[in-house]
Amino acid sequence: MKLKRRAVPSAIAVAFVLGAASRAGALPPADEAAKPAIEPAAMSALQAMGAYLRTLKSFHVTTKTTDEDVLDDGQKIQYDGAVSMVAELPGRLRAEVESDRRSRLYLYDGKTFTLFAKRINYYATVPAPETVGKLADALEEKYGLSVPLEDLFRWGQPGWSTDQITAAIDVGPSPVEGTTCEQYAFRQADIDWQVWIQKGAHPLPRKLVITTRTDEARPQHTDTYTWNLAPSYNEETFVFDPPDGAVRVLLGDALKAAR
Amino acid sequence: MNRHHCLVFRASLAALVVVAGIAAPAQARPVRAQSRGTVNVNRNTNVNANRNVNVNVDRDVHVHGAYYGGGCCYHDYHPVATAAAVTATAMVTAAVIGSIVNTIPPSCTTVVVNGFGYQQCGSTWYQPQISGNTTTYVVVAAPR
Repeated sequence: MKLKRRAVPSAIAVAFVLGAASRAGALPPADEAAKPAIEPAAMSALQAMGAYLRTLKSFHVTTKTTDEDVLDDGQKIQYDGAVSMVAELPGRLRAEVESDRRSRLYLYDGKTFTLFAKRINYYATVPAPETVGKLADALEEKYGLSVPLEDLFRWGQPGWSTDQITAAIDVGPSPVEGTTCEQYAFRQADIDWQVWIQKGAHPLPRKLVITTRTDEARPQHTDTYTWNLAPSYNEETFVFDPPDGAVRVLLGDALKAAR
Repeated sequence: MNRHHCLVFRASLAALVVVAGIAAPAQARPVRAQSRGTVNVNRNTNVNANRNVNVNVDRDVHVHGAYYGGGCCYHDYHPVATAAAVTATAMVTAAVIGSIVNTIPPSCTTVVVNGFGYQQCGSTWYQPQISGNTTTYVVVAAPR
């Protein structure tokens, strides 16, 4: 570059050469350009994680979560939350969801599903199908309601597909709270997402970041998971016992259902 | 506060009370988008959908509340605890059967009919419904 500058000493020419150089610099080197949009290593890691999740008979997972709202003028508001979930597959689940804004208890025993809103002491109970996977579908379809951390039940389940993924990158090693993980980045319609998968014999997701691309402010969701694969629980863990004064109400979100 | 006067001054009253900061929950602000929390379900978090919902469902509620359910800064308070700001708004909310609101007046009574709880606010009945992120109230005919 210095040689070129000396060879063409006028300021305009220098600017032109610099501009050309920076444009050239923006292009990826040939070996990177040759990498496919979907790296097989990233896809196989995702498949392996899904397959491993489906081998789990029971687990207790806790997460720290963040979510973002985008106000009308584009300003973003972040809020924190936490989920504590005990699952015994295929048909029992207890999840406590806490945030600054609300508190929810999800209980499912393979026959009925109850959602309890602790602060206002309302609960809703509906009949439920026999597996968590079917429960997630039924709640979504009928009530616009999602099971907390539902990706944990959808990855690797029969019918799960990676077809919607249009880009997959193996980012490299990245520890999550002291655990050795490999970081992967994926792109699909409307979202970019990243998952940190624990290395070794237990390929569990340890962190998840979802970036929504449908709004220019790109609101982001994060989960950081802590796993216990030998949880303690009993029958009562999954059964709702209404506290004093609890009032039964309807389940659902009419605003969502109306969409 | 007299009901008949409220009909005339309802909007400005609601605005006044909210601006004065008497409301227990933070003011609901319009939220145009939210972060998506799952990679495997393609949920509609679309901005326009939310706006349309506002227009169609919440047309009777002015200053306070009832933007997109779970809109920014809207806490999950019990209706009784939402206090003064709602009083003004309540009169704005016409008792149109089927309309949905995020808040109800403070002076309602919980009544259980056939095992389900309702909020009776004068001659207006609301049926509460809960979801993962919202508590909303549907205006219903008096249950019996």
